[in-house]
Amino acid sequence: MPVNSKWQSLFWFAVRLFIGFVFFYSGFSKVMEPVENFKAVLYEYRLIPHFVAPVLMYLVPWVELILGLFLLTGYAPRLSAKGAILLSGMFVMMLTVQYALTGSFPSDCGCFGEGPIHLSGAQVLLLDIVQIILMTGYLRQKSFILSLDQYLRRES
Amino acid sequence: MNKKYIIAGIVLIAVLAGSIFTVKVMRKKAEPVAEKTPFAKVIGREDAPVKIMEFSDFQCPACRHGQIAIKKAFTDYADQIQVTFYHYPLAGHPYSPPAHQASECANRLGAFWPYMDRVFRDQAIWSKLGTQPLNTFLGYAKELNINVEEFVACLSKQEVWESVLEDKKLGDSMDVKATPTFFVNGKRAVGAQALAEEMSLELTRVTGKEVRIQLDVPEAHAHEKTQAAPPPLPQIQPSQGETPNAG
Repeated sequence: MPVNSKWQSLFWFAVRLFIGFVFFYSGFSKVMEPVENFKAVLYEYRLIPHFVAPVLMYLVPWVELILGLFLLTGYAPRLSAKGAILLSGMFVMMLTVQYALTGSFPSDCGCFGEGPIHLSGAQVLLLDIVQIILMTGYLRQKSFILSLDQYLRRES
Repeated sequence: MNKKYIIAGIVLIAVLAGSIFTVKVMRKKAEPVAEKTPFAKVIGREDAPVKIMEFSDFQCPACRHGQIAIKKAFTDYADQIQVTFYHYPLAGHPYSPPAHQASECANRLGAFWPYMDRVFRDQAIWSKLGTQPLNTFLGYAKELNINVEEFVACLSKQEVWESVLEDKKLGDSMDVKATPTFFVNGKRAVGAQALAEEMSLELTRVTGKEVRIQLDVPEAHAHEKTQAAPPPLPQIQPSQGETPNAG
């Protein structure tokens, strides 16, 4: 495992906050709206069978929220990073299959609810790929500065 | 992971859930009551067991698919369904305000439903005209034998546009965030597909036999998002240079 320099640690700290914020905001904006809005978004993705949508419309926003909170606070950073990679990987797969089947990305990914941030399918695909790369790099870190993890380990 | 670590995780999730719950309770609005106005746009029997409130935008393609679902249901279950239409023009649709104003005028002249059908039918044409399609809307009125003089006079009435905005305000108060949004016996359904499912459930319940309203349009899953406010209503000058009666 590489030893982190101060600047490297700060960089990965910023990465953790950024990705944590993206997930938290994404989950929060969906949770605050009527769930049926997100169900309608899920229906637009061909990869998702319709019978799964009523479960996913509740599950996905809360998973995003919890992942986002864990990343923001630095709780269980390795587990959260793996979760973020898994979730982003699933979104990449959904968007890619959508493109393969329809020849186009959704005009709005529906990732941030009906709030002011609207990303196209192509933009969010790029964001997800960047997140996967960054979180993979984050997983290689030896220690996680300014995190709940660091505090809890010191305490025990 | 030791015990303390696990407890910290549980506390984090509990605080998060508690905060979200509190914010949701604080933001919860009183249940809005849709009052029947003199110009309410209602179709179907008053005693129909399945009552649908529709919030749609005339320039939104997904809303057109919503009509397909409603028509399918009306074909076989006309006695069981009542639909009330509410205008919900979206900000991203520049031709939506005149379409809603024109349809509201048709409503006041007793021809809302055929006019709405006409507007939706050629949506792909008038929404790509590149200029305000006022002549097109006037052409539809002529086609449907609506009194053109009264129709034109109505188009310039601010009060008509205000009633369109009243409908939108009701939608906002009901947390409508995307079009088309329907309330089937009070249960929210966003998009044509969700509407078809919800209507199927309700019709199954009231008729006692299994009802499945199926949509064959793949785009029926789509919906469009709302933004803060609809664009302003253009000046009504039906003689301006546009393709007359593009339908």
